[in-house]
Amino acid sequence: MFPNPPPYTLDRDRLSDLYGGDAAYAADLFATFLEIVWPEMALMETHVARQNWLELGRAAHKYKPSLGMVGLSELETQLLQLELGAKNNLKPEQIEALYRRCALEIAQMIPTLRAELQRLLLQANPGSANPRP
Amino acid sequence: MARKSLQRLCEQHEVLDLLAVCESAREVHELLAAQEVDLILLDVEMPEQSGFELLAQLAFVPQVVLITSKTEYAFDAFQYQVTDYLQKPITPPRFKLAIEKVLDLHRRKNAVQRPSGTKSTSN
Repeated sequence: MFPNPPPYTLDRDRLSDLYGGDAAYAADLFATFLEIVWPEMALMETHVARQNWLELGRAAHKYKPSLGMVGLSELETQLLQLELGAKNNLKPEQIEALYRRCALEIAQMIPTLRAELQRLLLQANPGSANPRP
Repeated sequence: MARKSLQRLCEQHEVLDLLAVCESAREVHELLAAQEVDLILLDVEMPEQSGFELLAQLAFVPQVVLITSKTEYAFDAFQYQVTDYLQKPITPPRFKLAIEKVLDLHRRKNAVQRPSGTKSTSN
């Protein structure tokens, strides 16, 4: 009935290290994550369906830093576990379980990322009432 | 996303002049054949050819800062005598430090190559 609360909070220390006080820079990369990286990550589902663990491991490796760049440090660590599990021939059901957990929790964090993007855009353009529809 | 961040860091740096953003090793080969480059910020893991394979093929290697999300490449990086090694995601202070190393090496190389006439003038 009620939506689940997001499983994590954004890693503010990490974001501060990466962007300092540059809200426009941070907003640019949050937008890139939401508009490009996250939709592209859906391709990992295809690798799971085909049990192509090599490609799944490669994809996990590729997307891992992007999660860190939007303050999802815990999920970055989970993606590392998925990458290692896929490369070290963990049992297929274990790899799939790792993937399902990552995919679900990333999806649960999307509203938080969207809200953060809006906040950053307002910070970067204080005069704009609705900076990004 | 990492590439976009790196591009931004380059554009914000007061000394760097970003000549190109290459999508593949082939584009790097073409660029180096066409113009002089002082520094390559090179991702180890590229689509067709790894960063190390690319370095092995280059006749003249400008300064290189390797970019990767794996720490295990550090040993290989030393073998290729790269100037620095950055782990993704890259923080601005760490990026600046790498560029300082690049500039320091660039200055020292220039000092060694300076003609003797210039040296005597400064004396």
